[in-house]
Amino acid sequence: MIWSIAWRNVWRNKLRSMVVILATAIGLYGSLFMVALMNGMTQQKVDATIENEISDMQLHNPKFLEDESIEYAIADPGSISSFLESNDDVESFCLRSIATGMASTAHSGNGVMINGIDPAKERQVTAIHDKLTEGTYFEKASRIPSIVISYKLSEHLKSGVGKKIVLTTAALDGETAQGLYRVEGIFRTSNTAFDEMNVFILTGQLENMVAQDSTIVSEVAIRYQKDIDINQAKAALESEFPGLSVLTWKELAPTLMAIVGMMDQFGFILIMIILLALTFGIVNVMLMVIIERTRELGMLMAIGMNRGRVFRMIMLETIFMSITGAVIGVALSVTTIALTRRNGINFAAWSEGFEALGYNAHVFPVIETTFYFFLGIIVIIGAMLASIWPARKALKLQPAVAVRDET
Amino acid sequence: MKITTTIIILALVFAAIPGSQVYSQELTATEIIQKATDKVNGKSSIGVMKMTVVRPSWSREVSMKSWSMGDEYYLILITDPVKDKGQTFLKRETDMWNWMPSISKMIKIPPSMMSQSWMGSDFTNDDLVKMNSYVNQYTHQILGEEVVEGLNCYKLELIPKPDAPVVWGKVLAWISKEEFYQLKLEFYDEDDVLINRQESSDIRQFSDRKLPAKMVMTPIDDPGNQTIIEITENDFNVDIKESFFSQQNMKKIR
Repeated sequence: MIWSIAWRNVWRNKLRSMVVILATAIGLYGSLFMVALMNGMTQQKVDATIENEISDMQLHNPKFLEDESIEYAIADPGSISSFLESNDDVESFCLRSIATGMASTAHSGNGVMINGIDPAKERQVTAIHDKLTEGTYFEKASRIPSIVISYKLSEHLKSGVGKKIVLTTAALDGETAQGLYRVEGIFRTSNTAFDEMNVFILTGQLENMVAQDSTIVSEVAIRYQKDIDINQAKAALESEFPGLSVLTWKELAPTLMAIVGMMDQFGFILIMIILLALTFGIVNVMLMVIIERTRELGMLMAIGMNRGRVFRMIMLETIFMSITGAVIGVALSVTTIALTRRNGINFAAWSEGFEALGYNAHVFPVIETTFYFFLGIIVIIGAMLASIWPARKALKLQPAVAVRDET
Repeated sequence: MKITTTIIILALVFAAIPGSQVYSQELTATEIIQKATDKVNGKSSIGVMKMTVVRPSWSREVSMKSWSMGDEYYLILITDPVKDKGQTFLKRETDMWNWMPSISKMIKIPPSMMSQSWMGSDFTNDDLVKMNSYVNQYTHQILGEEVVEGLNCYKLELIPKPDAPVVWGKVLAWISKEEFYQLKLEFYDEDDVLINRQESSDIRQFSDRKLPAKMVMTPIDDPGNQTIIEITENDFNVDIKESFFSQQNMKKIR
């Protein structure tokens, strides 16, 4: 009974109710879409970082992490290879030799990380070969060895495909070692900072440059199958290779985790602020309702409607209004997110800024379904709180006075 | 008959080029470069020089003292301005160190910092380390003769050897015919675009030899930028041992 009365009361003054409903709908629509955008951005950043840069797990000589020097190599790479090959959880892995050095051309020079890779293995682990804007990925065999650099670095060095680059690094004995390379490919990921710092050459070339003929493995990067528990995998590796540092992507990129956490909280805070503002709007409207309907409320009480029912009726009216608004807002954002998700939203005009911060400018909004449930509960709680003041005001009415109200 | 004609033609050609009688017949391009390199270095030297860094809106002067042995060992002490006074740079073969007395810190300049500018000038650390690789890392060819600074010069083309770790596409050098001064160097990238020009002038007597006292480095890409080095004193073949070029000495030297 009281439910249908409350529902009908909502629609007695359509204009006023619609204002509240639309305010709620638009407020939620806006904030949900913002949250979806931010979620999409961070999700893509996490995925891209794992895919292009750090993989799921990395093994190093513990000293290498302190001082990224070529001399801190992994002692027995052979046993790691065979262990990983026989492990079904491992999707792919690759061994790299890494040295810090300088890449220079006639125009300029830049400090870089020189990654010595095995292209066949590297292809399975990272997606750099997919990110080429020009040239090829270690497919040519020429007398002068190949180097793959980023778009950003080539711009800085005024280099290009087929141009010379001189790499300078410190050899194992501390002497300066140099080598001449030709640019074979130019890549571009969504993280400018990574791009600027990393160049790729064949691992054999780097070994030649620093130490004639010994094999050097500075880093092992591993990708796991989709549903593997990364922490268990880490424990397994740690017990197998106690002398090595085993780091998951969460440990390798702690800032990434911080950003994910921050974005979650930011979305939560954003929704809370918008709902708080909406609550005051609702309080205002409901107070108006009470004043307008003083006579009617007095009449209801006079004919025997008890105080509890009046209170519940007012509260239900408030909740109905906000829920209607919330449903419209959620429906709008679900469709918008579904539509934009297909092709993404391209902020190409601002891509430089996005990429400088390591984000892809082509954003695919995404939101977790649980977020809607959370939102629904918050909306109901908000409406209940908002109805307390107007409902109390209604209870304070004296039926005898109220029925004579002239307004 | 044929041979006689050739000889006559050759004779005419040589007669037509003034001042070419002796050297052009005897010296190969590589020998010219070698002589020019020896000229600047000597066995050992002590010098005093002033470097002026010119930028579009400001310029700054740095005075320094330098010790060298061959082209392998250098020690440079900054004497002015006060801010940088006492800083020393040591170059041994391909490595470089920097001693900063203001923070009592010795830094070995890592390969990744080699591309940074030296003391804010248009020279990079790398330029200092590789100053004299022209003999070994390039193939040399005489292009012709030109007059620079009023002196007859060989115009040489230096092309990096295929595997040499050299960033330039080619280097053009003008070296005076009689005294082997490096009067002008032009550095080109692989597309034959001029990047840097280095010019020397003001030939003066320094102890046992004459040398250009002024060197100007002009990066073509950055208009208004220039670095000028002027040598005020230079003694050659002084008594310095290799052990002089040590990290200990970097801290002590005044």
